[in-house]
Amino acid sequence: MTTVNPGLLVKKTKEPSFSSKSTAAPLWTIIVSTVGLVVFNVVPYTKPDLIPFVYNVVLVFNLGLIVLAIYLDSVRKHQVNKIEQSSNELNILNEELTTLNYMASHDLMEPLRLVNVQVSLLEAELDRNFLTESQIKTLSKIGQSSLRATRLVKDLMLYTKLAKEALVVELVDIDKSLQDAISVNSELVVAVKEGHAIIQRVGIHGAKVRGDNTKITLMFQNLIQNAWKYRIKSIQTILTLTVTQTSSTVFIRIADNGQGMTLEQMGKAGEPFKRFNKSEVQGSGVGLAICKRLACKMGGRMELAKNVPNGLAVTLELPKFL
Amino acid sequence: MKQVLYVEDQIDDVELLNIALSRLNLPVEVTRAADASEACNWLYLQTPRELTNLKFLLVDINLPGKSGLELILELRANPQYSNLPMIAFSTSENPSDVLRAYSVGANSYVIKPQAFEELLLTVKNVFNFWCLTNVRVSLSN
Repeated sequence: MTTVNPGLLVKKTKEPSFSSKSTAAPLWTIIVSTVGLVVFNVVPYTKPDLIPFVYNVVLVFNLGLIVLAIYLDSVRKHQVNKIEQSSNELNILNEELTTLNYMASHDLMEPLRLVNVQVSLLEAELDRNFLTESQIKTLSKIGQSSLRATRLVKDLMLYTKLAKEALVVELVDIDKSLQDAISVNSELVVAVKEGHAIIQRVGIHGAKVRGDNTKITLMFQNLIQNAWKYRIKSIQTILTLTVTQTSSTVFIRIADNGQGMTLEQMGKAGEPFKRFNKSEVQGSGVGLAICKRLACKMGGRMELAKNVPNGLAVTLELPKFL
Repeated sequence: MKQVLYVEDQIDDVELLNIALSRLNLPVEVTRAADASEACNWLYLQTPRELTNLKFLLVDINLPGKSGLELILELRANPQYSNLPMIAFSTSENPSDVLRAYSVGANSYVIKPQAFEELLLTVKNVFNFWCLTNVRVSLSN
């Protein structure tokens, strides 16, 4: 399976159609040899004096075909080498870009961290009685922006890292994985306990898939976190987790009754740093992009649809056996 | 006086550490080396008696020139300094960086805090442990 990193510059190479040339040589050989054999067998009965001539013609033809076959084979080998070379160059380039992206993000973290620490130090040391309301607000905004930039860079690093990391294939218990993802979201856990949210499970018990447990849990975490973040606060949140299976595929559907998305937004969801509600909800917009990338990496895909009557339904389609 | 060698190229980080130490009233003298060679030179100039006051090395991984991990590896190979506790100090939360730090011989890996309160707690715990206990590292497996 070939995975293409969506965030990276990937030049798609067109495979040359040398296959017709390579199959042509044996085909010609068969046709001409057959004709030669027919002529060679018919001529002795009709015109015996032409035997040496026909023999020589067939010999020359066959020699010519052998030379042609060798030539075409060398052309094919040359083209295969060129493709392999281009592919290697492309892989190296992608690897370099991923590393560069990671290093740039890592280097950005350092000054951002210093800003965070300095701002928090300043906030702790300043006597708030000597600051105006507007100055306190400005200081707080600097701190928040810096923390947001840190979160963005961290998510970018995670997104880049996922492209590089190999999958660890094991048998994943979907129920346990979903439960782990839910338990990380402490606000949701409390809301369920207090009756502000309900989690419905359909067909989950005993459902298993062969895949990377950590990454599948990470996908669930992101999707459940999104469902929680984009909830409608005035109504009870209902999360419906449904698993359906075919002989080869597992469909994991996470549906909510939250704010949902327009069709246009659904088309753009999955692109890194794409956020649709910038003011109210905190987030970097990488969550869905990470899920999409991971689903593709596992040979599956992610689909978004409107939940009826309202909300969003995200379906992860994963192969049962990776 | 207990001493700590902080190998860090960012002067702001050193200043923040010193502010944290003064807030905590920890009687520790922090010597700063801006890179690996400066750290080696400083260690070379220490007498064996002075070295006994050196409680640990706090080493930033991302240093100009020789990296912090290369420095730890080099010092671990030198019998004179091989038993010194060395702590890798970095912004990176990448598990591979943590693994590399431990594999070259770091005794601990501390992620640089994102807020001053967090820095205070980190410094308090790390310095208290490595300064109050006279730990020296054994190289035996």
